[in-house]
Amino acid sequence: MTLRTSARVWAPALVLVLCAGGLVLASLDPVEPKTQVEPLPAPVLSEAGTSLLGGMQVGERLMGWDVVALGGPHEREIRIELERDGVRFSLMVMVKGAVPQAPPLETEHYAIFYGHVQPKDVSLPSGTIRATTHALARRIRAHETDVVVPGM
Amino acid sequence: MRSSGRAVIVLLTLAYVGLAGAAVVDDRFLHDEGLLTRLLAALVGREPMAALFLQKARPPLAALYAPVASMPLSVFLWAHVLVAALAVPLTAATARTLGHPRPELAAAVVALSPMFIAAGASGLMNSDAVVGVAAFAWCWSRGRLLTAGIVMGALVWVRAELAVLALAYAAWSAWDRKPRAWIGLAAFPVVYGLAGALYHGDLLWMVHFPPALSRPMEDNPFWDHQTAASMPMVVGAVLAVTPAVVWLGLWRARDAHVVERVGLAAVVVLAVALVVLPRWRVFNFDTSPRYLLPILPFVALAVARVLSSLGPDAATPGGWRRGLGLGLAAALALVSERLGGGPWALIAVAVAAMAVVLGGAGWSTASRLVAAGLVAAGPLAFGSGARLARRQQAGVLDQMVVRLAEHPEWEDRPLFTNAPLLSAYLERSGGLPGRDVRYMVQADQLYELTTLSNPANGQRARLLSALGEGFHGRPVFPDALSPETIPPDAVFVLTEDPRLALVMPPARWSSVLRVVHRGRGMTIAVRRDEESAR
Repeated sequence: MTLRTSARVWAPALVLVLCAGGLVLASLDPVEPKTQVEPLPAPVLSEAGTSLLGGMQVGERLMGWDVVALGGPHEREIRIELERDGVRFSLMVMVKGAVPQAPPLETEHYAIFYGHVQPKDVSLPSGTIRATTHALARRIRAHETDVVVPGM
Repeated sequence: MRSSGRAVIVLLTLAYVGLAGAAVVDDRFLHDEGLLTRLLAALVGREPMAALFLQKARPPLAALYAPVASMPLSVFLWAHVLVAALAVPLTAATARTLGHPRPELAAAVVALSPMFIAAGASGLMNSDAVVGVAAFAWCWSRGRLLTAGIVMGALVWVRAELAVLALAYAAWSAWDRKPRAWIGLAAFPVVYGLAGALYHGDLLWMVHFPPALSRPMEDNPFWDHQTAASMPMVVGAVLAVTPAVVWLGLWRARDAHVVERVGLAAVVVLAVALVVLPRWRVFNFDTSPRYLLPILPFVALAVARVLSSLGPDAATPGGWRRGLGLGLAAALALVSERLGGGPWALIAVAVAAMAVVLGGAGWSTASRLVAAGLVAAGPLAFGSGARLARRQQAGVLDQMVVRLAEHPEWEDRPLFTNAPLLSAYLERSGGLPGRDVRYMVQADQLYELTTLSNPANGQRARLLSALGEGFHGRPVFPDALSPETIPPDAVFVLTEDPRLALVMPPARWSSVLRVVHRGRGMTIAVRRDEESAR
C-alpha cells in the first residue's frame, strides 16, 4: 500500500478517532439534551413567591400532603408539587384572568388551579383538591395585599 | 441493471411501504398538516372550482387525492404512503439513467429516510414534494426536458419552496439554451393562471390571491413563540432526512452528471434558505424540519455517488478529500453534541468514517455492510430530529384521552377543542370513537383563508360553507364562538396555544368555565352553568 493509497485509510481514520474522542467527552462531561418540551418550572421558588405562600418550604405538609417541590414564577405561574403514597399532583397559582378558564378557587388577586396528577391513571382521594386549595388560599390571602411577585 | 439490483429496489420499495404503513396503523405520526392535506383534497370534492382556484389548496395535490379524501382517514393515509413509495423506484431509475454503478444505493437512502417514512405515514405534502422532485429528476435525466419542466412548474403549487429548484432548472436551461425546459416550466402556471382568470374574472388573480401569506397575521402570538433553529435542531433535522448525509462532504462534482450537480446545488441553497428564512418570518416558514425533506432525492443521488467510490483506486477521492469531508461533518457533530444535541451525529460520522476507512483499505464488502448499517439505522435512531412523531408534536392527546375516558357521562356531550388531532385520534387509536368533536377554528386559520380567497365571485363563501361540512371535526368559526352560543353541556378540551386567547378572550370566558382537569399543556373544563342547564 503506497502512502497515497494509505492516506485513503488514515485520513478518515483520524476522523474516526476524533469522533471516538468526542463520544468519550460526551460520556465524561454530558450535556443536558435540548428537547422541544417546555422546561419544567424553575425548581426554586422566588423570594417574593415564598412570601406570598407564607414562607412555604419543601418538606412541609399541606393537609396531609408533603410539599416535594416549589417553583416559579415560571410563565406567570407558581407551582407547588404535593406527594403522598406515590401519588403526586400540583397546585398552580396564577394572577386572576391570566388564562380563560375559571379556577376551582380564587383569592382576591390570585387563581388556584390543580393538575399534573401522576401516575396519570389514578384519581385523587375525595376531598383532596378542596382541602389543599383552601389551605393554600388561606396562606395567600394572608399575604397577597403585602406582597408583589415579579413575573406573575 | 442486474436482476438482483431490481429485486433490491422492489424490496426497498416494499420496506418503505411496510415501515410507513405500520406507522399509519398505530398513528405514530398522526399530524395536523397531514389532515390538512386530506382536508384540502376533500374541498375539491365539495366545491371543485372554488378549491382548485384557491392557490393555498395546493391544487395539483388536492386534485390527486380528491378521490380518496372523503373516504376514512386510513384509506387516505395508505394512498399517501403508496404515492410516496413511488419516489424509491423513481430515484433508482434516475440513478441508473445517470450511470450510477449501483442505483439501489440511492433508492436505499430514499426508502430508509426517517423523515420520509414519517411524512408519508402522516400525510404531509412534503413527502409528495419528494415524489415530485424524484419524478422531475427522472424526466430531466432522460432528457425529457418539456415533461420535467411541466412537473417542476406544477410542483411550485404543491410546495412553494420548490421554486428554488424551478429557478435552478430555469437558469440551467437558459445557460444551456434548452427552450423546451422553459416551455415546460411555464405550462402549468400559464394554463392554471388563464383558467383561474376566467373563474375569478381577474387576470391578476394569482397576485391578488397568492398561495401563501407573504407576512403572518399581525399580532399573531404564534410567532412570539417561534425561535430561530438552533444548531442541534438543524443537525438533527438533516440527519432525520438521512443519516447518510454525513458522506456528502466527499462528493465531487466531476464524478456527477450535470443533472446531479445542478440539483444538488439547488437543494443546498434551498436548505440554507429554509434554515435562515424563519428568522425574518418570510413566507410564513417556521422552523419545522419537514420543509427540508424535498432535498432528499438529490442528496440520495449525491451520497450514492460517494458510496460507489470509496475504494482505494486512484479515480476515487483522495485521502485529504476524505479526511476533510468527514472532518467537517465531525466538527459539526461535535459542536452539536456540546450544545446539547446528543451523541447521534457523532455516532453517524464515526460509522461513516469507518465505512470510508474500510473502503480505502480495499475491503469493499465490509465497507458496504457498514454503510448499509448506517442507512438502515436511520428509521430506528435518527427519526426524532424530524419532530413529526405524534408524541413530540401533540403529546397532550394521550392525557386528553385518559381524562375523557374517566368521564363516561360526557360520552354524548359536545367536545369543543382547539386540538386539530383530537377528533381523528379519538376516532382511531384513542379508543373513544363517535364523539361529537367541534373544532374551534383559530383566528389565524380563518385570516389566512379569507385573505387568500376571493370574496367577489363567491369563492370565499363557498369555501367557508364547504369547510362547515368537516374541519378536524365540526368546525366552529371564531364569530360563532361565544358563551351565549355554546351549548350548556359543552366540554372544553383545550391545548395550551398562545392563539387561543384570540378566539377565547380570558375577560369573556374566565367566568364561564370551570376547570375539571388541568395537566401539562392541556386543560379540560366545563361550563359553570352546566348543572342549572340540565
